[in-house]
Amino acid sequence: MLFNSYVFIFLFLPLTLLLYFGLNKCRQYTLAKLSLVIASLVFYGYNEPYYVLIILSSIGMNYALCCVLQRYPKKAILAGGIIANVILLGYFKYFDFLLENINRFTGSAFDYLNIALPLGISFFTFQQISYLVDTAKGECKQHSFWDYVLFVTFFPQLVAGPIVSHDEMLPQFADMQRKRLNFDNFARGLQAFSIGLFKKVIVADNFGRIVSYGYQNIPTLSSLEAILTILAYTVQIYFDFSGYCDMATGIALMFNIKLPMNFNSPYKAATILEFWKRWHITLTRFLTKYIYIPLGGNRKGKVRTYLNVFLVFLISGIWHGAGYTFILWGVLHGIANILCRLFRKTVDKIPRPINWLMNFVFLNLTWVVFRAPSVGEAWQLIKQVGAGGFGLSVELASSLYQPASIAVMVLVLPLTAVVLVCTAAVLAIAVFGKNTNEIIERSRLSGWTLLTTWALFIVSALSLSGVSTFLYFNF
Amino acid sequence: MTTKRWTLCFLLLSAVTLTLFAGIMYVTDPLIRYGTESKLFSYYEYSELYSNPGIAKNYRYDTVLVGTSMIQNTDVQECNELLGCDMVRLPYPGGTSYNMKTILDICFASDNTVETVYWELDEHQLFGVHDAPRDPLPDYLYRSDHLQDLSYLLNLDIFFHYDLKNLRGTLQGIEQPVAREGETLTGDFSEKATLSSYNRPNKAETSASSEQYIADAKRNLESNIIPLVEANPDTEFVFFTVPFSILYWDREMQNGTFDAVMDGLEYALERLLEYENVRIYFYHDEWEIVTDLDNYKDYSHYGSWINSYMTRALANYQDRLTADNCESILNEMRDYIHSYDFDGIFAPAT
Repeated sequence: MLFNSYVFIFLFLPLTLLLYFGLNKCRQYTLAKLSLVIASLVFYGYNEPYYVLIILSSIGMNYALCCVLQRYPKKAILAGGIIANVILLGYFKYFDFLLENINRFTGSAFDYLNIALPLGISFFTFQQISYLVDTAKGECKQHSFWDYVLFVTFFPQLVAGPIVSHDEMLPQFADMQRKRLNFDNFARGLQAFSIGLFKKVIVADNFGRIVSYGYQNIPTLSSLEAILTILAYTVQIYFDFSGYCDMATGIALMFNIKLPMNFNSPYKAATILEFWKRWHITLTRFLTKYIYIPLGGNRKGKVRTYLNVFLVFLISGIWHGAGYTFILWGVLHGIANILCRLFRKTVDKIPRPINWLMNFVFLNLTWVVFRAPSVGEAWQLIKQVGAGGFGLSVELASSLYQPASIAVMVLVLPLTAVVLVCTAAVLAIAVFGKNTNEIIERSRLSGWTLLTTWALFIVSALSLSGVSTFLYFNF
Repeated sequence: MTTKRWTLCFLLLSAVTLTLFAGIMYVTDPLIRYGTESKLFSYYEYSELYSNPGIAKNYRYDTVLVGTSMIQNTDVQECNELLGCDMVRLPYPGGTSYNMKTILDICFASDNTVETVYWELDEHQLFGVHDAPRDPLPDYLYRSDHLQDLSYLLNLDIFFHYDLKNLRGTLQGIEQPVAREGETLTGDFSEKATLSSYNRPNKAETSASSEQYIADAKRNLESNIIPLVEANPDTEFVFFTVPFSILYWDREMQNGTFDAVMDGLEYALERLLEYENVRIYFYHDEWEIVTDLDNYKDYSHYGSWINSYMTRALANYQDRLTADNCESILNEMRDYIHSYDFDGIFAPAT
């Protein structure tokens, strides 16, 4: 089920909230928790019911392993558990990629399995690995089965994160104060949800049309079109993924659950090191705690530190998708990170705006590698920037037609100007504006915020029809 | 403002706004999902993809005309008079057989008794994809469950593109019902325009495989066409092919696909002729029309007088294809095209 669907907004969410708080009000705390688990599984299996079997199998296996680890915290059992999780993820996500490479390099002709990737498998696998490791280290007390299931399946964060840890979630579920409807949380939840919905439905989906057009017509793009295509994806991926996380944050808040911040205005970053402290924060946190530090972190000399950094980014690239473009993206970010650390003193002396510009250009170019169907096409698009010409085709110019139709009517701007103005405005918001977490934490709930939240919600709710997918569902 | 008041105000305000908006959409019903045209508008913005399901569901008719842009200029009034029926026209420019099946399913599920389906059948429908529409369909208009109503009633895009345009057209005093009855495909119909819009492909070195075309035709027939014919034995299905210009066949010859297309077509027509509730009319070989490029604006699209010609021909049962004459008529066409001097079309006038 999608957050940006009528069935979720008008049926699933209100019913789940009513049920959860209603049961808690009647002091049926276990039933209330169970209602959340069942709702989460309905949410997860809404389009593909058999996915529920996959997630329940994964949960069952991991919970059993945790019980064993509680009694016998042996490294071999932990290693077995991690390998089992990685095999499960590998089977669904990388098996065909592996076959493709075997076929390519050995000349064999194995048939692809065309396995459908279960929603959010990368997220719930990582989350469960973290629980296993913490259990083995004795950092995690024994939780009941239903607590564990709720920790993994809690629907706001189930399919695209943030990647939460048991110590920030389970105490909240147990907290009696959080079982009563809290209007302050609810209001801020509505705010975050409305902002996220707008970011996804109005911004990301519309810029996604420019991206689709651009990537389908690379050889014919003018310089301006190529630049716009690159910038549009930079906009799309941020507003899509952070919009999703905003909605997740908002929904969780309605249940009085505070999710960790996943995006802290990443395009404000002046260096790649800063970017990774602001972009997909919970993934960085996971990779640091469960890969970088166990590898030795920065404790084993400079060379090992750089090697560890590189490995972390390589794994991050592979985690994002089965393809050479993702691997190359991870490698490029790894190299940039190492260079930034190596020349930190020099970098620090460069004025921040220049650092920012270099970093932003780097991010844009690496997003091209991330998005392109192949490395060759990524390079072709980057080369196309130098193709010359500043014309915009009608197809590309009208990509933003839906929201732009309002602007066209009001301002009577030509479509080309609308595209340029919208792109500049959205990027300016990403670079200079407050992010959703800052807004909901710091803003006063006034008449003005009521009006703006209402406007964002209404415009988005009236624009839900159409084909829509979240980019990060596939990672 | 207290947080409780803020929350309740937000929920109330949103509920009222969405209900009001849905109410306006329901009353104005710009894509006639809930009934035929209201008295509110004299002008209705029309697009095949969005308007056809409403017409199919809510209009009263006994005859349906489906096809591609080749029927966009067919005059429904003329059809009603000459064919003695009460027709709706539901074209899908460039449509696949999937498009035709989808809209005909709605027709057969409506309150109407469909006595006759006139089906303009072209190579695109027979040899193209069988499991997808040409363009993504707005699913919510093609499905009738109530969850889909929300996608229609709470749709800013439809409000902008249809409601506001209907209002503007009505204020300008334009009379245009949803199912427009006359010509909708316009352009410069002349030899000069036709030739200048045509890019002649280079001669292919190999010929396409007939087996592939027959397999494609089989898939389209068995997925989208024959199931309808079999499921509605009381409905007469009148398939007809249209007179594409000679340039259309030049393109097939240059691409090396002509013989495969003809073999696939012959297979399809013979399969359809097996059914008692099927009649077929063959207008591909109207050579007088086909070779006069003044009838066209590009290599396939003709002017409305050719639609009118076909309507009269259908009314007169002219050029009916039967199991007995099918093979010979197609062979005559093969011979004609193979012996035609295509290069002469492009030779400079002396």
